[in-house]
Amino acid sequence: MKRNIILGLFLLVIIFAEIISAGGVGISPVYYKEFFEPNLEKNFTFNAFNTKAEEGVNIYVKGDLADYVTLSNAYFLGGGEFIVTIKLPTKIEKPGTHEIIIGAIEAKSEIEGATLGGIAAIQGRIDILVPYPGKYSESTFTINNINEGESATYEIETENLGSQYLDIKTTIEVYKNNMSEKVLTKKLKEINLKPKEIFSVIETIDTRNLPPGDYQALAIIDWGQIDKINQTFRIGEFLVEIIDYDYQFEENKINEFNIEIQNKWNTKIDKIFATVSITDEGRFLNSFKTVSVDTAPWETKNLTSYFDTTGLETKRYTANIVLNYGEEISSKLIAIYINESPKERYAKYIIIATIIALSIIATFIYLILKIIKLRKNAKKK
Amino acid sequence: MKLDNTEIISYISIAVIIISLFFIGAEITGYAVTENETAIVNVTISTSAALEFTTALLDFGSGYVNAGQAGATINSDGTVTDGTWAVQNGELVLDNIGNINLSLTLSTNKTVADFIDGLNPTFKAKVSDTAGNTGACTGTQTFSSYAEVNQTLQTACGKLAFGGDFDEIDINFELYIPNDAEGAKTIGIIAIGTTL
Repeated sequence: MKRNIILGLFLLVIIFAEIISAGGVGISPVYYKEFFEPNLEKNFTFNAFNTKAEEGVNIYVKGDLADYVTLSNAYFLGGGEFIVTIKLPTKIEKPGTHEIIIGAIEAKSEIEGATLGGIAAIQGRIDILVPYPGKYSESTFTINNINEGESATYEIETENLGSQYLDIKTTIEVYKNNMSEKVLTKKLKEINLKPKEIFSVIETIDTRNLPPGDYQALAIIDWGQIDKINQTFRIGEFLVEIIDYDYQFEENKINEFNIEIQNKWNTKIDKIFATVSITDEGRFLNSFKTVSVDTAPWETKNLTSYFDTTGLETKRYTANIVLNYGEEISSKLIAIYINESPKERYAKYIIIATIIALSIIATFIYLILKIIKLRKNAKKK
Repeated sequence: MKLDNTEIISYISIAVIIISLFFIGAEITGYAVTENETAIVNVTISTSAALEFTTALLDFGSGYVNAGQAGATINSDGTVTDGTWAVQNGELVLDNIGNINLSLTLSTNKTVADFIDGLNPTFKAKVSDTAGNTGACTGTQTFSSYAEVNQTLQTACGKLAFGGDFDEIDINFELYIPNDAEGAKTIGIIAIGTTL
């Protein structure tokens, strides 16, 4: 009997495990880039895997150049390395970037054991860049969030995708207040790019004296035509701010007290908690502490604690919320309200409504009786 | 005093050694001399894109449309209308377990008609950040509320972030089952992550 129970429990665990049933795929590396050359033949190596070694992975190719691509393997059990061979034609008419998608998908023929199931697939790329006739360039620009007192790191990549040499002049401008106020300008050294050449720079711009807040960075790349790329970034301060909180509570009950906070720093801040003190016209009544939470950079999170209103009157009180994080504290003084419980409120409404109804009925009966009496008197006369 | 060639060479050699030592800065102390040495190690971490369904199956069980109703609506948020299916609170959970941000599309491996059958069935999906993963799914979000999901690729997240607490999403589903639908069917939800 005992053995049957244990076997039953074991089977139950397997069934629940099957329902949860994780599954996934991956591919590495995810990206190659190649400039077009007539009749180019080249091999690219990828690795694909299923997160479950006993399951299969199917490999596929998509894109407008898929016909010029062959795979060394189209299926793996568990995972493995495969070669993608491209044999490009003599000419590709359309200039620009042509994406060859290399995909790996879980090899599942049917979903079993449930109504619906997830099938994961992942796609890497081989970009074939066909030069534009004449002058042409494309750029990318990124800039990082930072903390107050730091210099912001940016990355610019400019590619000459045309058939002529280009002189590139790049300027970075930093604005605040939605591009209405320029606060910084940096001019990069002028460079000369030959066809197919890529210029890539990772540098910093001196933002050390800028105050915390949201900023816009504009990269202006002049290669004969002007490209403008806009990015936003934030300068954080070591501050955790209270952005919302509960302020209405029910009498004679243990209420949840939620405080929504935001990490304004570009680094994680751990072990944040709040202490809440309740007072009534300066007289201390109660205090309680929330659980502590960890926050990622810029993350908004909820602190929860419990406020027991047993024995407190239904009226307005004052609460002081003190946030503790690192060696810093910040606080907020708020008004909170303890209200009647819904049951009591409804009971009062019912009593009042009953009294009004009875009054109306009594008045109505009185009037009816009065009319009857008047008619009787009138008949007697 | 006359020096022979051997002595001259010896004296010159000693002078060269002393001058060299002076410039090199070696000290003869009788103790072992150690200095902090630094070397630069370059490590290149290959980008790797990977997606995993940490919860890959969702079962609504069996049931039927209530008598007199044109169809029943059930979803994995715990709603059952006009049907006898048990309330289902669950979802598929998808995790970006690689080291690169991805764009994410959702589609199905069969048509809604092949899945649910009957007159005008519908099948919808809703994508949200898993609790504690605020900001995982950003950009274009076709499924921010329940929207039809079918064999056409539709963007679920313009960017599905990677790493730490921002890389997981929940996918809920809603079905409208007409009263003339029959049989037990299954459907696959294909989630494709593409490198940005």
